[in-house]
Amino acid sequence: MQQSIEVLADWDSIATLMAFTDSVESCLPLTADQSYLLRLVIEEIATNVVKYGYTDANRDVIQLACSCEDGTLRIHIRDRGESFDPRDHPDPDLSDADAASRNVGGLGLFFVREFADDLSYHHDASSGWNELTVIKGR
Amino acid sequence: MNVEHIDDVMVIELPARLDAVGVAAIEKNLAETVTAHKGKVLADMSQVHFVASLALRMLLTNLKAVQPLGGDLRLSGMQPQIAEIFRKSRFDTLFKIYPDRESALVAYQS
Repeated sequence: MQQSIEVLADWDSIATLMAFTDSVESCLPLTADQSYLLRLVIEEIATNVVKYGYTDANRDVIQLACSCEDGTLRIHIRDRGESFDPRDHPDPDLSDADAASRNVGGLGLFFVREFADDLSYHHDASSGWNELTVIKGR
Repeated sequence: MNVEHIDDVMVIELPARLDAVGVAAIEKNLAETVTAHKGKVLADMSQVHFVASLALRMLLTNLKAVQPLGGDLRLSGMQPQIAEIFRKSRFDTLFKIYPDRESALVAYQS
């Protein structure tokens, strides 16, 4: 079974996507870690698409689709904004134990990579669609 | 966001979802409350089911605001997934973290 939603990529839609997650959780047999990852993907990836993927001049949609088969959660997130492969983003520097100088950039993508079993990304140059697939087993 | 004072410690109970929407709802109020208190602050996270990078950024901003004023922001009552986020990001090295509110309050008085 697959559940999907398409929203305009703006700030109001993040709340809509979070509410969609509630409905996915009630319909798909997700583990606690899978549910957490789904929320992380919306929080960290979808907000990045809203912030950096589109500009106000070209704002278009975000599509999100989730399925769970044989205990494996697959999340597909698609957009037509600037291409960005989250796998290429370097890990943040986590070594600084001093609060005053600690840099917090890049943590969101780091969390998605850490919690997922696998990430794949494809940018289709002819159509302009980007698709990120995030997979997590039980 | 519930705030109460126990002796000289201000205890703030954080809401269940510290996602982008949850953070936006409390961020300003939290910063004002913490900097106005200028002292010992405990964020009780026992109701929190979700945090992501924005929430960590918010907590760190408040820690950095209160430390130069002679105060501290400590955390208690993290559920396992929240503790995992703090471990992975090594935010557990930036904050003093306690299993529950009671042990955090005892530690503040010692």
